[in-house]
Amino acid sequence: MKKNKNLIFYKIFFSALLFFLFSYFSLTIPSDYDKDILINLRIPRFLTLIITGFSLSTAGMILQLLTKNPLADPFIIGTSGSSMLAIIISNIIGLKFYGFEYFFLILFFSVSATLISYRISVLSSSQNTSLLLSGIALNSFVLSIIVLFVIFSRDATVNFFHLSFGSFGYNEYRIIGYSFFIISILFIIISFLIEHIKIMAFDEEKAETLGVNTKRLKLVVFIIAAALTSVSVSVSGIIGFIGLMIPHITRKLFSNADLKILFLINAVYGAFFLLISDLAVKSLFYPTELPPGVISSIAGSVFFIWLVLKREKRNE
Amino acid sequence: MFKSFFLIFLFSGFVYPQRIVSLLPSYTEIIFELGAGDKLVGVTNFCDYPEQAKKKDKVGDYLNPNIEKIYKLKPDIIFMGEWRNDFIKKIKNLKAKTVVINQEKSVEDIYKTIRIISKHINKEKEGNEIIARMKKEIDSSKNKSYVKVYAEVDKDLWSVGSDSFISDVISKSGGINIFNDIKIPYFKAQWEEVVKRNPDAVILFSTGYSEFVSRPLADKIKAAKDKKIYVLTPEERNLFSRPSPRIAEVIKKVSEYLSSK
Repeated sequence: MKKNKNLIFYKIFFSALLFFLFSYFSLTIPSDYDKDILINLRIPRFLTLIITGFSLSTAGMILQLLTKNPLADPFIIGTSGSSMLAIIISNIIGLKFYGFEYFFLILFFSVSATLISYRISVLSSSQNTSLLLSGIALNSFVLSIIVLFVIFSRDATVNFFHLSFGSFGYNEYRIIGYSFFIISILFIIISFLIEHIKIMAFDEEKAETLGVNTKRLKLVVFIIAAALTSVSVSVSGIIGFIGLMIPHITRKLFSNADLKILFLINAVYGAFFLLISDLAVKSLFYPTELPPGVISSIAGSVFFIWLVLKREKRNE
Repeated sequence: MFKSFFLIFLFSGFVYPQRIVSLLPSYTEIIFELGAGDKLVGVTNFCDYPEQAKKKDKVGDYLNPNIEKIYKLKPDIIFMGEWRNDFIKKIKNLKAKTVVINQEKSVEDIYKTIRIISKHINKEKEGNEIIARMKKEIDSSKNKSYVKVYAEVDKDLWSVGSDSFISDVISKSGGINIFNDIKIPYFKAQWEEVVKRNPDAVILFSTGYSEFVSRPLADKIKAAKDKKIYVLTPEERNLFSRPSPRIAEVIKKVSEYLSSK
């Protein structure tokens, strides 16, 4: 037992080291920059990455735990897409970005998408597949609405079209501050609920006998996951598959860790992955900029197929 | 006597096309400029210059022309751009003569296009006249101001490299495209890089002025400090990106703008 703890400690230490190293790279590559560029461009971008990584990987993890579906991911089940739709709608009807009504609208859209996907999957006998299928249906529904908006109110929509594959633009510090505030509150709520989530992920019936209100817990956790996704889509658009890949990787690497620690590690690894892909985005075809979603989707879809094949093999 | 005249008439009608279809707005402009506008029977939806072009039969847009419509117009000759290979195959079945013209990457390429079109419709003399006139106009507006120009051709930082027509128009106008070292025609630039390259002037095709200056550090850019930001009107945007004889006007205008204090 003690040996295990030591091993985890080393792993965490090593991960943290790598994380700081890549943070440093992210702020200093390419090397010709001055104080202005650092403060006004690179640090906001870096913080945006951290927010996105934290929220997407955490959203993915709690969704996977709660639905007991290893393929759950805010992008796949349609939460990200409907958040983007909400952003476009709020722009068309003239809501202030990051105002109160804005959050209400985006949260409403993302929560309903999550719940719809989940409801449909529960109704069907093969939950794993039907969650994906309802996600596909939701995503294409959202996409077609967005295309309609592009056709009928092009000017209001086109500004947001780059969000569909993500974009680490340059957010204001005010927006970054708000986002950090929101995700810290959500993280605190998660830390309170974590014991319940743990029991429920293990055995739902047992959780009920232990006095956990599973229905309410599910609803709360879905709202948290949707809110996390909304924040990430607001600051950097749709970046798929982070919530799918990262929890699997961290669970593999830190299989003995307590769920509480695992959550934090998972969040950090989400940011870590985005830092690496941002470096690739910035430097591969310099000075051309690629949308970050390209990198994560290439990696993520390969990972996804691998995951499905692995499960198929096990089921045989 | 009458017979031979008739034969010549018939012969000329056979050799020189009487029914022309143009599948790019710039070709339409060139054909009108060559004085063969009356022989044009089909143009694209985007052909809006000169005024008479709007009255011609439309055959769809150049991304997706309507083959049946073209067939019904019974053209002798079709002028089209090179970049739709799948479409070229379909249109070659129409038994009309198809002339595929390479995409213009510089102002000199317009001269090539004019030569090709004028040769095919037997207006070579007029073609040479247009070219000579354009060269003269462009030479007269050659103010080498060596101003560094950033051109944003579409929202979200889409810019042009040296391999594009727009980049050549900038250099003909006496300016220097800040992304001249990039060898691809169109690409999405990194904002940080635009700030670093610090352009003296900015040409915005569809980005708004306020949108541009509200980006972080935009106020650091020399063009913003000097208020040298040219926001094109939709008509100017068309002119700028269309390799037609009217490009000489654009070059004159831009070079005046760039060299103005």
